[in-house]
Amino acid sequence: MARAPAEKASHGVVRLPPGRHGLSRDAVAESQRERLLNGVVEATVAHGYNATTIDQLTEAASVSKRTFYEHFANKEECFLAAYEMIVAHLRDSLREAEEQSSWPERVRAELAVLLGIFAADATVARFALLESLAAGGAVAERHRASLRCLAELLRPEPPAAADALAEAREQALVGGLSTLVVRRLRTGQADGLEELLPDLHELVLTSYLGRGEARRLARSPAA
Amino acid sequence: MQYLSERLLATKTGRPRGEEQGRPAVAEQQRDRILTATEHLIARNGYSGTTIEGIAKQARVSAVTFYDHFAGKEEAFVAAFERAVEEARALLADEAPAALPWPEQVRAGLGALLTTVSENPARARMCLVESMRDGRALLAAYEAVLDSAAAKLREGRRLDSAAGDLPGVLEETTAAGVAWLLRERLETAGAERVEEMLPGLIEIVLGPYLGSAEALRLAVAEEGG
Repeated sequence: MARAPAEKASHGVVRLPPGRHGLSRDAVAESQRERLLNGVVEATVAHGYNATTIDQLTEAASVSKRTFYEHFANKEECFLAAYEMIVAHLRDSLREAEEQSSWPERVRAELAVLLGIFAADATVARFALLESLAAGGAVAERHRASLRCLAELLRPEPPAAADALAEAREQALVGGLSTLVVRRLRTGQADGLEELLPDLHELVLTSYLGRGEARRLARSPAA
Repeated sequence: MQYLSERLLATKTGRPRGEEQGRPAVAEQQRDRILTATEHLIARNGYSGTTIEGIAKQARVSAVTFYDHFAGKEEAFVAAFERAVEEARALLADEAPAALPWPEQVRAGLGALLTTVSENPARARMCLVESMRDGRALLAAYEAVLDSAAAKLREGRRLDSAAGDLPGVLEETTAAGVAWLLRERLETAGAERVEEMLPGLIEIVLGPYLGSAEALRLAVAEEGG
């Protein structure tokens, strides 16, 4: 296998010494890419999406600027790659919750998974929920699609009549929930996030069933 | 600026120098022009695409005058946002007076809000879309507006005893959800015909308190009916 050309270390960047660590070129590239994805999360949450420079991003990732451009054309592309990885992780984590037999239990389990992940890593949560809005453009478009998926996940089966009104109500619900979570994270209340579960559960059920039935289902012991 | 003594006086009071020169109206007009320019440029070019030079040029003031009024772009943005909120508040006080029954206040308030969005698309874009694009001070201002909207909605819990037992985060989520819907609409379709969202918003806001059927009835009823 052709050896990766030795790159000049600069800016105090830590890098794997070429050829001696027994890692293939692909493995090195993968490690760099992973570091960049972590770097874009750290840098954008620290500085805000629009203010973040490629320099700040590569510094957070401990790779060179040149390496960045070997992997991504620009900040947005890097942001989207990290965003996709987070969404894939959320999807994987939600799979088990989706297997709950009843709809109210499914909603509770799904919300518990989401709140658990966001509470465990507030930086990742802020990146996905807040900086995606700050980014605008293709990123905001992608985030919009994610929230539509989330609305589908929370929807009862079979779905209620799919009219424009129901769609608006669902959008307001997931948008409202997302804003609520972001505000808690921004004010350093990640620890209390999971305590919101009973309220959020009832809120989602209320949006479909009305308050009386929602309260009965949300507050009864798991069936 | 002619005299250093005047300039030093201005630093003492912290007021724009126009006032020190006995020209409060001039300073006020300058500030207003700067805010209007900020609003238009941010709506058109985004927060990061807007410069202080650009704002000063459009407002027909010098950069020095800009800095007499604001420490920087973010401060001007927050002030423009606050001015828009104050004007919306005054509009709501007129259009949805507290004397009306609460469901009517909500209905009239949402109607007035949508009308002002469609009449001032640049302002709406600044407040709902660009306020998310960096500038942490702005996010805080945005959240303060959500809080005062949530406080208004919470009055609905007095309608009957069962409503008092709704989930505690309902109003915060509803206010944020309505803002979210409006932003999505501005981003995907623009401000035109935004008034057609009214029945949906009324149902979303009133539904948890009145039940969906009654909320829908109010949503489609004739005004004042």
